[in-house]
Amino acid sequence: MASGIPAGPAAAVKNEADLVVIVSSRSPVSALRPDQVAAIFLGQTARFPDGLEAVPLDQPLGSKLRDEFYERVASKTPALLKAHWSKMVFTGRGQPPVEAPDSAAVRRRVAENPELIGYIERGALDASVRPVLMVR
Amino acid sequence: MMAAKPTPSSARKARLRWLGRALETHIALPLFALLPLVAIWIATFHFIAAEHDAAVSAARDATREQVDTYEAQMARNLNAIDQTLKVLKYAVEQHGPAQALDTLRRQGLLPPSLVFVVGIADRDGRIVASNPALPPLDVSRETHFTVHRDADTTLPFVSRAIGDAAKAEPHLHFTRRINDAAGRFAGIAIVAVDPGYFTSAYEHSREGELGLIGLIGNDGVARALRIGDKVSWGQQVALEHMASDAVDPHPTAPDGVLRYASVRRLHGFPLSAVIGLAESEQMAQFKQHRGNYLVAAFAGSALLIAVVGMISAWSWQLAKARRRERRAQETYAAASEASLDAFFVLRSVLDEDGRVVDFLVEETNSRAEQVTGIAKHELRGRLMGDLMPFYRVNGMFEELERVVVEGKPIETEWQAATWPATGRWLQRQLVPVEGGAVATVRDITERKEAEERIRHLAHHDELTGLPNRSLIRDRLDQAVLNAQRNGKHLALAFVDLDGFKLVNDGLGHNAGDELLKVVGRRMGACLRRNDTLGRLGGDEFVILLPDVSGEAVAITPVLEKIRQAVTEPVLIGDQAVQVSCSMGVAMFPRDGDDPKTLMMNADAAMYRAKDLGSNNFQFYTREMNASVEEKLMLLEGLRKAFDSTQAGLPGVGTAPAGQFSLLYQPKVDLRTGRIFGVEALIRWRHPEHGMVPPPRFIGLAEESGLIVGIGEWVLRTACRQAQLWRAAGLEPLTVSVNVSARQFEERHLVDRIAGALRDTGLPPEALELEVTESLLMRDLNQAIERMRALKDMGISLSIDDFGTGYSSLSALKSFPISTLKIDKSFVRDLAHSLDDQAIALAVISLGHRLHLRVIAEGVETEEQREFLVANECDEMQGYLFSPPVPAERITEMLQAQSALQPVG
Repeated sequence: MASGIPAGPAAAVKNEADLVVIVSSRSPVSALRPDQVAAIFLGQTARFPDGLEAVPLDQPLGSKLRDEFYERVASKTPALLKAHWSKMVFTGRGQPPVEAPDSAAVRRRVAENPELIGYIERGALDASVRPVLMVR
Repeated sequence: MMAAKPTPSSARKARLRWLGRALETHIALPLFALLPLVAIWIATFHFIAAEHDAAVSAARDATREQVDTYEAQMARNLNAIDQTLKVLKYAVEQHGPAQALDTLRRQGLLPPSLVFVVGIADRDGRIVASNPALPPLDVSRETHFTVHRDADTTLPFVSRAIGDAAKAEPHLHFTRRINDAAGRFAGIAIVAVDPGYFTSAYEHSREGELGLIGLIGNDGVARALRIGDKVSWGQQVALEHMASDAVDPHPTAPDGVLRYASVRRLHGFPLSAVIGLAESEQMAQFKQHRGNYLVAAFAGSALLIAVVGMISAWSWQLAKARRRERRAQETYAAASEASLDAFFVLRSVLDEDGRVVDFLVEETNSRAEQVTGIAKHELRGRLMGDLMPFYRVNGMFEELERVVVEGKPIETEWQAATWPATGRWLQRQLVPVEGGAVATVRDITERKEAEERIRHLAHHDELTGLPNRSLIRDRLDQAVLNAQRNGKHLALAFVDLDGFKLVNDGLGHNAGDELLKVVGRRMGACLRRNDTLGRLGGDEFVILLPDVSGEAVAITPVLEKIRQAVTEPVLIGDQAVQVSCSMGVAMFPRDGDDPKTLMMNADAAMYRAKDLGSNNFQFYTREMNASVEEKLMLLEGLRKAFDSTQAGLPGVGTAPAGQFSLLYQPKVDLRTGRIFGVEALIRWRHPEHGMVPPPRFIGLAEESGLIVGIGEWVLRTACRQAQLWRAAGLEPLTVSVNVSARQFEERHLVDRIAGALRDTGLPPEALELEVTESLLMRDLNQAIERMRALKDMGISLSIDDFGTGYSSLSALKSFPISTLKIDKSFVRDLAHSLDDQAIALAVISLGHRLHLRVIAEGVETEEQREFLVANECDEMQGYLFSPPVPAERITEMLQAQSALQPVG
């Protein structure tokens, strides 16, 4: 279960492989709820809660991290995700997030652009980015 | 052929009657209720139809709108795909296949790899680049490759949904030909898409569960088809009957569900977009609404019918009840009009305290007019106190009040004092009913009068109107009680008319009745107001004189007056008749202290008066009882004598005391001097009193009825004796037997005589019956009849005591007699009475002229005999020849006679 509060005693099994949603450290966004994050990544909203533009960044299609992220945050299997984006694209309501090759690339790009929001494994965190959501 | 047409007026009446019936609520209302009922259903169907049309129209609009949207979306997407294909082609032509994709990727010109698979195949059909990356594939045999290789196409190609080694799930492949710089086939650009992509816009809220979104190729094969959540492809979908705008629902492939379907050809591609909305879903709401409408209409109709039904039923019941009531009214009216009683329906009028103060006439019948003298319509609605104020004083109001309060009927009889029924006896019956009472008044005058008449008859003699035996007895009892209480005297007199029988027999019963009435009136006129004259029956009267002094001499005057009044001649018709009376008087308390004794003693005194020769009155003395007692004793003795005579042998010689005996007096022919016959005479010796004179006991016998038995005994004995003489060979004699009135009246007389002759064997010619003159005058016709019957048998008849009674000479003609007997009273003074001689001569002459024999009775002297012989009398009987003697003596005489003068 995802929570916005730093983890307590009931920790996840894999500490290192925990997902974390990041924004640029320069972004004013501090914390986000899972549903807010899901809305951004599913194309339902293009802005952060405070009104700033939000541009999601995906891990590569088929990567484990990606599947896990969508599973936990948006409760969507890859098939469901595909069906969602099929509809969105077909009806012209939106485009799937741009993909970055890996977590490091995600981190780098997010750090450069305060509009971007992505997800990486916990171990890839550094000071250039700020975690806004711990995904369990 | 045709039935006779009803007359116009009767037809109109029938119509009116029908109209009247129809207008009755319970018929009119249901008919009337049809209107709203029909209205409800018309409206309902109207609304249903309107909604149906709206629903259909909405379905059509929805289909069209959605197909518009889908077409636009499809167009855009196809355009974008085509654009991608062109970009790929350009990139390949510019940079070569290997780098084309990378370049595009870097520029962000590749479509999202999540949805699209982009690839480039060389002229041999090998995939040289793809995004997302794919293992090398060979598509050289695929249609979407060969079609471009084999022709210089300028248009994109859309494959059917097919899978390949890269992806097992079928995809649609969009391909364009790539040319090299020389324009030769260099390969194809591929964009592969999941078929479901094209139907991903399906929304359950818009399309429902059975809606259809489809992308159909021009070859009729579905590239992508989605119904509900199920995506399919490859079916044959017939587009012929699908118009660009749906009008009517048709079954659509692949499941044949009825859908409103619209088709749009997609520009630039060999594809058509299809939208189908299931009729069932589109009309679902309508159907629900329709259901609701129908339910509402049914409910409304049912309610209307129920309400109307109830009202009608109620109204019908009312009408029925009204009709019943009307019929009851008519029946009542008819019955009350036909009734002989006057009818008043009264309603109580109460004051504030609830007490009855008056009565209101609600209803009467016609008869009531006669009783009250007021017209029926004037009676109705009036108060009794106004109509008949006197009803408060004559008791009627109190009775009505009591009837209403106690609830029990009262019956009263009264005599009306007011017009118009003055003097008549009326009976009123008051019966309580709810709210008042019903009074019935009946005229019972006739009944009362009849009752009075009957009561009078029960106590009075019908003929004379005088009190009868029972009333007399009552008055006597009362008078005796009074006399006892007050120490007074009373006198009781029994009055018997003498000679009444003669008048009754001689002049007829009507004359007798008239005589009784006149005599009764006369006797009554002699009495005081408190005295009672009553008729006991027959010719017997009784007089009760209450409150007299105890001395006989005090009432003698009134008794004398009565006696004289009775002996006054009475004119019956034009005949003057005279009777007298014998009266016996007993007095209280001297001659008895109870009614029974008084009556007995008065009766005894009356008999004494009779014995003393009638036409007198006798006061009771103790000795009188003796004569009555004597009479009773004699009667008893007579009975005993009769019984013992019957039981014993016929008298031989002098009968023993207590029995009857028969003596015979010879009758002698005056010319020959011979005995030719005998008269049989009865004798009775009483054990104590000796010989009882025949007149005495014959009279008793007649009174008691013993005469019949005694007479028969005499007859039989005489016949037997006569037969004995004949059997002995002696000269045949005729034997004469006296027959009394009583015997002659007896029905079986003729049979008895015949029986006696039969039993004794005496020839009828030997028997002669002697009847007295007066006897014959009684019932003339019957007498003649019987006499003829006897004469026919051979018996001869003679009239005894001729000249002493009443008879008419013409009657003499009709009697079948053979002999006249001159009464002894004429014979007695024959010697010196010229009158008697004349009579005797007349009788002899009369008899002879009528061819009758004449015999003289009671001849005692020679002079008498000489006279009779000289005047040709035929026969004689008397002491001169012989007194009545026993049978043996007659035998001796006959023997002597035949010895002396044998009949030659």
